[in-house]
Amino acid sequence: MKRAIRILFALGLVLAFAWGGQIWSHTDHPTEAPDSWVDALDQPVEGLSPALLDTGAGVGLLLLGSWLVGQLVAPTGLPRMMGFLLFGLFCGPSVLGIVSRAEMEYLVLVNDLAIALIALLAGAEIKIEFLRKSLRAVTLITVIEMAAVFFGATAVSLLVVPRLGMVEGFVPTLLVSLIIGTVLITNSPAVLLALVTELRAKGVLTRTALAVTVCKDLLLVILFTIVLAVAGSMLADRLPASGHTDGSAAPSSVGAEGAPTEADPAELADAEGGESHAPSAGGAMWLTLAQHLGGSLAAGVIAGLAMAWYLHRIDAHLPIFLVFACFGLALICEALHLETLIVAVVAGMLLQNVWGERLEGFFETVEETSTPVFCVFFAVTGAKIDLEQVGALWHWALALVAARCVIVWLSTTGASRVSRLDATTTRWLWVAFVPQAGISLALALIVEKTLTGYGLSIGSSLFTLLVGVISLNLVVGPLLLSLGLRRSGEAGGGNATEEGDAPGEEQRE
Amino acid sequence: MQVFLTILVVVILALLATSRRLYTLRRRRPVIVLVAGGWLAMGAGAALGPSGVALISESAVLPMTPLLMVGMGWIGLMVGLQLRREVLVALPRAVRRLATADAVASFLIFGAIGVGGSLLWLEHTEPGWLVGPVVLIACASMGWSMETRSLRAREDAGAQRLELLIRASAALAGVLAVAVFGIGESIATRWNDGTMRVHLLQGAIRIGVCVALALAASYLIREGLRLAGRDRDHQLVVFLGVVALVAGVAMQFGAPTIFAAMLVGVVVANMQGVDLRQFERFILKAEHVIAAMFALLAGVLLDVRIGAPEIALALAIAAARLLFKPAHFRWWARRSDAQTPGIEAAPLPTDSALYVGPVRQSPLAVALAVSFVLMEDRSALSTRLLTIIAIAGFLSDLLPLSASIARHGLRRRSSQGEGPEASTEIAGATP
Repeated sequence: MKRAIRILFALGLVLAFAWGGQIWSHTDHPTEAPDSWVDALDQPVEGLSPALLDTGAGVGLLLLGSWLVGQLVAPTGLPRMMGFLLFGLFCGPSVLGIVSRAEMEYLVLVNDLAIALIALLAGAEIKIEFLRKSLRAVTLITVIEMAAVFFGATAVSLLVVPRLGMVEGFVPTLLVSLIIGTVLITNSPAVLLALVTELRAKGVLTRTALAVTVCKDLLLVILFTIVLAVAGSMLADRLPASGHTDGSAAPSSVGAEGAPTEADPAELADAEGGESHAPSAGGAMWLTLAQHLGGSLAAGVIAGLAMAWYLHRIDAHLPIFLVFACFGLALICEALHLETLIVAVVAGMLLQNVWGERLEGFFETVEETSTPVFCVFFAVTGAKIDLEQVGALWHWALALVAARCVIVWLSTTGASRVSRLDATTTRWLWVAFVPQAGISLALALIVEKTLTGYGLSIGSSLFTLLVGVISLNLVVGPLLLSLGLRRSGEAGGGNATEEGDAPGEEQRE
Repeated sequence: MQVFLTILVVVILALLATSRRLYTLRRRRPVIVLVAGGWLAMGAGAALGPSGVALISESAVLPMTPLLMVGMGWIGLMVGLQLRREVLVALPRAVRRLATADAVASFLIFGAIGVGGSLLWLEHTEPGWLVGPVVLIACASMGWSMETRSLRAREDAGAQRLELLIRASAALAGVLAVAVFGIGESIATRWNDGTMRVHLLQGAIRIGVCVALALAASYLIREGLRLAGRDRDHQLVVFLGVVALVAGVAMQFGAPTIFAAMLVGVVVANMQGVDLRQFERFILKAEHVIAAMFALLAGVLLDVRIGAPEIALALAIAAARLLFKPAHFRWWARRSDAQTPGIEAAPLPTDSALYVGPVRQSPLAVALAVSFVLMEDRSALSTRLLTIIAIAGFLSDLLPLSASIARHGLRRRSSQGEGPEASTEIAGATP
């Protein structure tokens, strides 16, 4: 109790200073630089925007505050990352508004760093030996789970969408449902990794979950691009245009036949995976996809080699190198329109599987740096939750969440049985695929922007529904995952098996 | 995109500059001065920045403000952590007197130069407009560089005492410089109509906020470290969080970030019952990289489009350093030599290149100038002042460097003539 009071007092101090600073800076600090200084030297002056001015304190607030809330919730058995999320939500625009929407634009740097670091960690967790032995299980679970969620969520959406009055007629309803089904396939590698790190989980369940999540991301790039391109263009043909096309928000330029020809994937990139899916016309879509995936894999190998060179030749200031290597990855991916997640996963896999033992110090550094990164990342994700949107369609969102949970449970458990995984893994593996976070939010944003780009008004209502579902999954998912990791005995490395042990091996023996 | 590129370039250069591979090169005598003063890094920053090839563009610099704020907080914390009570008590009285006397004299002399320069240079001559530039010029001139290795010729006890005197007084003068800068810059308030006025109440509020921040931060650090236990990743959260929060909130209140962070460092250094070794290790581990990064960013902010008045001001500062600092230091050193007990055992050398050491400007001067640039939203005046201080610092480093090289050359030549005994002395000169 005393501990909780002390933490609450510290939290109060952090909030008071951040709030006080914001109030002071917004009331006293002029938003424009005074002309008098300019007159003195005849030079133009750029004033700091209040949002930029607040960003320094904002980073401190989110970092320290979320960590304190994480400490507060930890003894209750809740994962710390729930504390990070809740603090972000509390400080974000939906509740207190200490972290404003404008300020969050500047936090994109932190977000991109987090994505690369999380993916690097995820890659480092995947051992080639394990993949080789468990290829069948990972493939089966990935395919069955993805297919089941895609078709199952689409079917449930067919029932929900007409009641929301978004579209009329079977085909438009089906197309919208397909989009919903695709977005609901995703699960969050960040949440999975954060909990694995926090609970020090090790074992077959953990490794299988990570491997399946990475495989799902690779396949999702293809599926999402196809579904959005096809469904978007067909919807544009069948639905009357809203007449309102927000040029600034529209990512795609609409071609002569109403189909998007090209889009700037960098504009679409956001959140957890830096996803950049752009619908393209016809055969060009496959070429773009191939370039996108192949390029990401190749860039990952090059990045891994470059990092290995530094670590072998220079080998100094590892934490700072790590932080900025991740910034570098984000930069390269943004410039070349690649998937940050895939690039960093490949780099991490390469480093771990080729030079794993020699780079032990580096991976220790990666783990040490992960806590501050997780704090800020989840706090920012929490701040992105729009309670108003969740509240608007909460019952429908809840129905979709429940349906998704059941489908994930049934399909994963079934696939695990087919793959002959051990009983504990079979029972709890599904919980790893429930949480949704940044990738899903990014996909929802892309859906909204793409449909708006087609001139369709349903983009925003679909976005609201998707954000509602994702927000609920973001809250429910980590709780289930934490429970699963504890119950399976993998939390604290309790069920750790030898490196490279394949799932199902135990049962087969 | 541009921001990423900027940060990436800065960090790659900083990492390479501080790598082990370049360590051998850094030990060479002329390079020591360039590296210790951050001139190489600053030059690289200027070359890459908007004033140079513009690889780092003007628009990319602005979003880097939070990074600069945190860097400034880091430096302030490092300065403040030096002020541990036991260390202060253990310091010879001569060091404290020397540092205080230098701070007072520098404030008067360089403040006068600042006033003169500003009156000639600036259009506005009301006190409100003058306080910022004058306080910056005066504080940037307090103390001197702590680096003594490049001036070391022999390693007898007397020379070591002299080195210690230079380093300890430089550290203390640095603290005084940040304190005076913090107070001075806090009282100059910009009003919404664009005018600058001296406003004591606003200044008092800002200083009060800094003190309150320091107390709150020390509480947060104490509680945070208690909660973090031995987990280094959690300790890192506490450290980064506190530095970012203090730096950011100070900036919001219009107080100098470096001053607020220094106060936090002072309070933290004197906290009872908290093991700060891990905490200090975090800070010191990254010291060189942060310094290199900061120098690079300072270089990016430089405005090289300066005219004759700015160059004249820089020359005046450098000339005043040359005339005043060595004489003042020598006088105080002799005085302390006469007063300190046990002096017979190790008298200070009568002739040493170390006496020229105080000519060199403290690297903290550039940090203060960058803090001013941040507070002034990168106004043209502030970036030019940064350039002036950088030029003055570079010029003030040149003289001892050339003196050192000349002495070193002479000794080498004489050692070649005299044989192995003399060469042993020179070998000892290189650490």
